[in-house]
Amino acid sequence: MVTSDPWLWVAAFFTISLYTVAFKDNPVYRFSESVYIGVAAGYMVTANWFNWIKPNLELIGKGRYLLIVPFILGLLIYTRYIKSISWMSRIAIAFNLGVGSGLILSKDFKPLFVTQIISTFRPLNNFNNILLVLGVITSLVYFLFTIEQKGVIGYGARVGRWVMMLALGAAFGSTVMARVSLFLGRVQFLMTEWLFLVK
Amino acid sequence: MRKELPLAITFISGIIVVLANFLAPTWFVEANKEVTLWFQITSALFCALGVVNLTRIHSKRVSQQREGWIFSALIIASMFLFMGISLVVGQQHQLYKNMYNNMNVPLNATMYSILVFYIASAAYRAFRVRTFEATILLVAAAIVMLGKAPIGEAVLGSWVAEWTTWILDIPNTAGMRGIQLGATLGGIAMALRVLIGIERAHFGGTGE
Amino acid sequence: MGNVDRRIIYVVMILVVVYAFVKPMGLPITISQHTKNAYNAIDSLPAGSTLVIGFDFSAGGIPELEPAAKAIFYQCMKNNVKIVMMGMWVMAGDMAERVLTEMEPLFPNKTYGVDYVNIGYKPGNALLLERAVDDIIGAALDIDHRGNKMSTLPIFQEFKSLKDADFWVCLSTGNPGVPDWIKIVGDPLKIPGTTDVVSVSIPENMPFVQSGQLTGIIQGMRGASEYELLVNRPGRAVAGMDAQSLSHVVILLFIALGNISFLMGKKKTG
Repeated sequence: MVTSDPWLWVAAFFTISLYTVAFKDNPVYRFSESVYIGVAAGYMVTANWFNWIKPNLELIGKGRYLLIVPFILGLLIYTRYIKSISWMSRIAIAFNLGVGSGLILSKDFKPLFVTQIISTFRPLNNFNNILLVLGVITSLVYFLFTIEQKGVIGYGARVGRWVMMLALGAAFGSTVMARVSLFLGRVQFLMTEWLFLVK
Repeated sequence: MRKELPLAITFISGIIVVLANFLAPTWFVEANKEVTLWFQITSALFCALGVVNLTRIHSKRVSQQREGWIFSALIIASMFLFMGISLVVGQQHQLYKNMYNNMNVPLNATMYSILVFYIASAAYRAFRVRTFEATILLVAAAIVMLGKAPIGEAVLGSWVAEWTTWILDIPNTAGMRGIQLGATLGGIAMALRVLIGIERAHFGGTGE
Repeated sequence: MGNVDRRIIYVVMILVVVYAFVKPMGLPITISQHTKNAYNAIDSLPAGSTLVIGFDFSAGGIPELEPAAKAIFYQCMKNNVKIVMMGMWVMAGDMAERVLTEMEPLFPNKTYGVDYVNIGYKPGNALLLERAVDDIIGAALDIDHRGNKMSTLPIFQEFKSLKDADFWVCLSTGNPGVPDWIKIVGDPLKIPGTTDVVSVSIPENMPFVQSGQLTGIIQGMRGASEYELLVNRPGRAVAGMDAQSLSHVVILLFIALGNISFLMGKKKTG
């Protein structure tokens, strides 16, 4: 009727206690919330330690001494807590931002811009293609805030709004679907693995 | 030096990545490989920022016995307990898997799923067809919600699913593509600004 | 009518979902063309091919993505397609282990390290993929999620980098995710791929489907249920569809209720 696995009871307790906040904030919810924050932060550290930091330290031990540089670079982020040398944390941020920006500049343009525009060039021989092309153009016109939106631009922007509303309606419906699915997952766990009410 | 050094590092690290992708002299490509490995290491080392921050803030609350200090103590205790046990037993140990599957997963999943209640009550209270655009939004949302759930087709017929597919394939694609094109250009522009040092907000500056 | 206590809404939601699980209606689930496209693309991979799965999600994605991950694993093992599991998200390795815990016993003739492997999470986001395009063992520091030396595993004798992948699947709840796989693996290397995304991400990924950068798309829990039916292994996603249906109807009814009272109030005030 009910599981005898203590770990599943732990999982069920955390699940139900978090849901109680929907009705009223209470100490049981705050208990689980606090455990969540602690466990999530701790998990980040352990996952990175096992998957990356420890193996790299072993590499340094085997003679790849150049890797000491990124270790120092990464640890510099923690100087933000020491007022006299907190400016050094900018060095760590600077390095990561530089690499990240470089990646965006070299990788994003073709697949996320050029290919998308090319795909919009559809033959205007059926309603869907015409709507797709018009939809992209008018939704871009809608975001043109540097030109006064009147006349043709105004009409285009209005059509663009309608297209955006359709897209946002789909987005809202999808968001509801996502949250419901998440909730269903937890209820499924409670009813199948904890309470054995459903196979 | 405090301003120039970070800007120089941003530029050098970024330009290595850019040039390695567009030109391909061997030494640049090798430098890029080393830079990306360094990036991975620095990213991994940032992981403890959460732990350090939480410890600083909540240990102060505990020491000053401020309201809710017990929960602060709980945050610190659960954090270090989880880390301690995991680091001792390792990722393949059954205890670690039990902690992950029965603490981390349900807490993480349930926290996000609470939103279903708020979405339901917010939709009931705030979703009003005041304007033509709001009506379009509501109708599109309703069709998608009914089309994606089997009950829509079962009760109303296959047209619900067909319309759902059409909404997602055509107007949604058009609208999202417009947003995506703008976002991509914006991202590229921002990346360029960061690389050449115009954008300095992340360093606490005002930029130009 | 316009002022129903929010707690009543919550209780109705819970009751409806519980009822749907206890008394399933068995509503038929039709398979969408997008899911079929993804399924057919994977099904057409010849035996010996390698499929890479990116477990780029956290626990919030489990109900919508894990069923599809299991179905794809099942399909690949049946078709003798090798699987390399990896991820940019911190939970990637453990998420893959959850799938393996259930699926490994179903295929006793398949061996870890030969037919499938779990590289797990490695940091760097898109740069992990960038490095893996050149050298997957180097990108993972020659260590998989289970602590094995990757260079000793037979699967990596032929699979040296992401360039050797025949297909990729990104299971994603956000960023980093699908765009990174497209811009680093799909687009430059011309390796086809697909995705299972949480429902909230479906709209933003449809442009990639239209442009052909994604071969089909498995759309959230509904898509996962369709995929389970395609591989003939109905599971959690299929079981959740009735509850999904009733929940959507309840939410729409409450929205309708709110709007009816709004319109009636408007009529009164003229």
